[in-house]
Amino acid sequence: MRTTDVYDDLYDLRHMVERFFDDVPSHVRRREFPYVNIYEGNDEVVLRAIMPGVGVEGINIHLVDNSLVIDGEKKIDYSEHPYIRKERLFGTFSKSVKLPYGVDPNSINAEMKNGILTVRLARSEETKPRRIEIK
Amino acid sequence: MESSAGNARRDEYRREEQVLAPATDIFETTEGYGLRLEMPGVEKEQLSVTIDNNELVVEGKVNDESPQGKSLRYSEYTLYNFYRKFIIGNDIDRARIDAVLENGVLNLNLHKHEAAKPKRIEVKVV
Repeated sequence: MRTTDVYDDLYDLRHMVERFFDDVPSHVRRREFPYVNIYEGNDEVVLRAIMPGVGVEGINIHLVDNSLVIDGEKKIDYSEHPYIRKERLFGTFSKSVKLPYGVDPNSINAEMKNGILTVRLARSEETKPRRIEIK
Repeated sequence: MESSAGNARRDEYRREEQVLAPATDIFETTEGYGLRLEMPGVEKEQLSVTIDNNELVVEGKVNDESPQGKSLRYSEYTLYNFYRKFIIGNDIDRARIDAVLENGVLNLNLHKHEAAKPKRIEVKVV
């Protein structure tokens, strides 16, 4: 049970201000890597992820339940030299993407081209819509 | 060497097309300067690197079509054509610039003029 306090509104306001500054710091949000787009049609899902500078050997793709997990490491490519300007981010990453339906684990096909990862996943037979016969 | 995201923005208005300045790392070696520009989705044929006096301009066109027969269901990114201009110093040899595109990252190697490279001075004894 909750009792009402005259200061409740004031606390709510303070909470709102705190949340604004603390909850989602912009530098954390920006670390999201890689960004993905999902395309769908004809019982196939196509996922594209933007990951320039990550070689094929730097990525692992797993299918966990109904999610596709992409993880790996983006290695720094000039560590022995002093830098003048540094805008790119390096390090390990992990991203889980929920798929719209169950996919056939044997149908997954991934390729990397010009820094864009494309993963094709076919819908599994069990999750395709079925017509139920009425007896 | 200095970059000019501001110039890119100005040029963007002039062209009335939205472009993206590629994230760039610049480092110095004894031989020259190295640039790494992240330009995902750009094919070698759609990439141009030009040098005019002290301006180094990198442009790349991207093709961001949906795969055939598919529609976009969820999106975290939009690809734009890339454009960025750099101002380079007189120590750079305009005739010797190497460009390699690898995994969506453009590697540019700018060589210093022989005269601008660090040299060991022989000390003579008299």
